[in-house]
Amino acid sequence: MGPQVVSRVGRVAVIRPARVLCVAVGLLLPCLSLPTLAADKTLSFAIYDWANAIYQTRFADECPAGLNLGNDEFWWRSLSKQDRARLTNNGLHESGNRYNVALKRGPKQENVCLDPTVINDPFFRTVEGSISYGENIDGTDDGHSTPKTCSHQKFTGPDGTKGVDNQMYRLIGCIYGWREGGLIDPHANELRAASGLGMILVEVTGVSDSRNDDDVTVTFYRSIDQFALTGASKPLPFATYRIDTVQGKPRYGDHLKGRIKDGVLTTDRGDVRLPYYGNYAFINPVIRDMAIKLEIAEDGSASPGMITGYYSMDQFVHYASGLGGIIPVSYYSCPGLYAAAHKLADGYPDPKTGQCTMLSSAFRIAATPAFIQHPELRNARK
Amino acid sequence: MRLLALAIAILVPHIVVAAVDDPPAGIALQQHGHGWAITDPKGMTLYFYLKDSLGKSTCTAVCSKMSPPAVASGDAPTGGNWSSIVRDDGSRQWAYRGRPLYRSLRDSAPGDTNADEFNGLWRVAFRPIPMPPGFSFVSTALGQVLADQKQMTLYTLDKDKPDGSGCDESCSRDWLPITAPAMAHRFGEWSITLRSNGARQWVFRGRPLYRSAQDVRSGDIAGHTPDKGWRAVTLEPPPALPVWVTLQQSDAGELLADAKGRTMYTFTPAGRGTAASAEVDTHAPQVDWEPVWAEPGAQRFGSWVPVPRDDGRPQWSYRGLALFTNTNDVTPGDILGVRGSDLRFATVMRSGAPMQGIGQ
Repeated sequence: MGPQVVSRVGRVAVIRPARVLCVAVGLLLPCLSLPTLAADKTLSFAIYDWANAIYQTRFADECPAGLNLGNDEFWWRSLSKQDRARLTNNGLHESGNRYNVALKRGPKQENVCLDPTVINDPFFRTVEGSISYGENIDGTDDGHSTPKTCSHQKFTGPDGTKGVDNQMYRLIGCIYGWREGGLIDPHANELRAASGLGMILVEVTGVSDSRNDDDVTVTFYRSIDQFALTGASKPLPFATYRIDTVQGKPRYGDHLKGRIKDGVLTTDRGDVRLPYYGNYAFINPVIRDMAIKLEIAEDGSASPGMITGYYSMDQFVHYASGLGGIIPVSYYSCPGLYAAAHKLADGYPDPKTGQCTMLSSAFRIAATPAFIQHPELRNARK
Repeated sequence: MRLLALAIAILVPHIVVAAVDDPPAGIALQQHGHGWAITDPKGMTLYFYLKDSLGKSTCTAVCSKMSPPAVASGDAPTGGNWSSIVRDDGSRQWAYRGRPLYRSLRDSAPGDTNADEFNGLWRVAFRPIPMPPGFSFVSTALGQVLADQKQMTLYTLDKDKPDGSGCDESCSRDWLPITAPAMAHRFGEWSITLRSNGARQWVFRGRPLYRSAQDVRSGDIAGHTPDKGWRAVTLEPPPALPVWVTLQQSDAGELLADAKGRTMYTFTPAGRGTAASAEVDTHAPQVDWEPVWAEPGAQRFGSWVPVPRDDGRPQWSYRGLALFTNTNDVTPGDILGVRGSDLRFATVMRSGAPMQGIGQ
C-alpha cells in the first residue's frame, strides 16, 4: 500500500499510479494525488498523442481511385499554360510558397478554404474499404437510420469486430495528410508537446483493484502546465500537472462511468467536452457518446488507447480548412472535404433539416502516467 | 563606515539609481505606478525602435513616415539621461539614455499606445521606477506587477513586517524568498531584511518579497490570494474596460469579449505587424466575421474607439485595429477564429500577447 494522505475533509487516500514508483515519489510529493474514499485508488494520465485512427494498407487498397488531389493541383490545372508559367515563375515558385494564391479559386478570388461553399470540387475520394478501427457506436448491425443517426455504411474492425462506425475515417482516410507520413496529427502533437496547450488529463477514481474493478469513474480535465519532457523530448512519466480552473472549479471535468477488466479500462458512453489545440487552432468539441479504452500495465503505464464517439462535423471542417500552410502538403480540397463531410455525417441529425451534424470517429491516444494536482490539495497539506 | 558605503557604491554602481532628472522642454513625463511614460509635450506617446543602436537612428525613409522622430531644436539643452542625436538628414532627434525617440501615426490621442510591440520592433518609451538589478515589472490580469528578472510575479504577505518575514521554512517551500546579494544595500523604497537562516531578503515598500511556486509562466498570478494574505505587488492597475466589454476564460487565457460573451478579435489587414496605414481598416472578409458594432453616438473610452464603416455605421476598434467576432464561436471563451489559415485576426487578451493562428 502506498503512503496515505489525509485531506482537509478527513478522508484517507492511497496514492497509487504505480506502487513502487509512487512510494518513492509520493513521499516527496505527498500533496499531489487525489484523495478519495478509503481504500480507493486513483490512476492518472496525461494524453500526449492524439490522432485520427486511420486503417491503411500498403498499396492503399481502401482508396481504389488513389489518394486525393491537393488544392494546388486543382488550381494549376484550372490555369492556362501561360498563366501557370506567369503565376508560378515558370514552376519555380513551389506549392508551399504559393498556397495563399492557389487557395483563391473562388469566382471572385475567394479563398476556398475560408469559404468552402463558393465552388464545387469534383472527385473527392473517400474510403471504399470495409475495414476500420473504431467501435459500434450507434448499436445497429447495419447502420440504418435511427432517431439519433443517419443511414451509413458499417466497417469491420481489423480484429473482425462487426458493425464498426467511423465515418470520419471514411472522410479523411484517402487524404495523405492524415495517413502515415502525413503532417497533420504529428504536427499538432508536436505543438501541444511544445506549448502544453490543450493537454488532456485523465483521472480514474474509485479504483479498488487496478487490474479488475467493475465500477470506476473516469474524469477528463485540461491541464494548464506544459508537458514535462525527457532529454529526448519524450513525455516524462509521473510528472505533476495542474488542472485548469476558474474560481477553484475545473473548466473541463466531464466524467464517464467505467470498469477495468484484466487491466483494460473501458467506459460507458457519454458526452464529454475535451480541449484541443493543434496546428495553431483551438477547438473544444463535445464528443457525443464518447467512450475511452486504455490498457493499463501493472506499473501504472498505459499502452496506446482509443477514444470513440461522435465528433462535431462543423468544428472538424472548420479546423481542417484552417490549417494554412499544412494544407498544401496534406493534399486535399477544402470544398471537396466540406461537401463530403455533409454527405457522410452520421450522427445527431438537425431536427429542422435532418442533416446529420456529427461524424462517428475513432482517435488513437497515447497516455503517460501522471500526478494530477487538484487545487484543494495544496491546502490539505498545510 | 562611510568609506565602506562609498566602496559599495563604486563597486555596484547599477544599484545606485540616479535621481530622476527633469526632461527637456520638448519632452514630458506621464506618471504611472510603475514609472513614467515618456511623451511629447501634448502627451502623445513616444517609442523606442528596437533596431536602433545607442545614439543612432535607423528608422528613416518609409519607416519615419509612420514613426516620425521626436524632433529636437538645434539648441536644445541636454544633460543627464536626455540628449539629442543627429539624424542622417542633419536634423536632431530626442534620445533617452542614448536611445532615439519617435512618435507614431498609429496613435490619435494622448495616452494611445497603439504602436507598442508593433511588429516586435517598437516599445513604449518608459522610465521604470527605481529598482535594484534583477527586478522588472510584468503585465498581468492585475495590471503591472513587480517581477523578478525572469518576469515572474512577486508577492508580499500581509502579516510580514519590514524587519522580518513571517514565512518560515515550511512556508518558503511554496513561497520563495527573493534573496538580496551580500553587497546590496537599501535605497529609496527598497531595503533588506535578514531571514532566520541568515539569508538576506529584499523588502519593497516595507514588505519582504517572494515568488510563488504555483506560478509557471511570466504573467501568472496564481499566488495572488488576498484571503490568505498573499498579494501580488501591483504597481499599476489595468486600464478600465468599457461597460460592454466582458472577461471570459478560454483555453488561451483570460480574454476580452463583447457583452454577449463572444470573443473579440482585432483585424490587421495584411497580417501580423504589416499595417502600413494609420487608418483603422474595417474591411475584413464577411464570411465567418461580424463587426463589433458601436451604438450610434458612442464615445471613445481609452483605447476603445468607434470608427465609421463604409456605410457610416460605427464599429468598435481597439488600439487602432477594428474589432470583429467570429460566427463559429458559440459559447463564451470559444476561440475558433484563431486558425493557421488566417493570420489577420488576433484575440484581445486581458494580459500578455494576443493569440493568433501561428506559433506564439
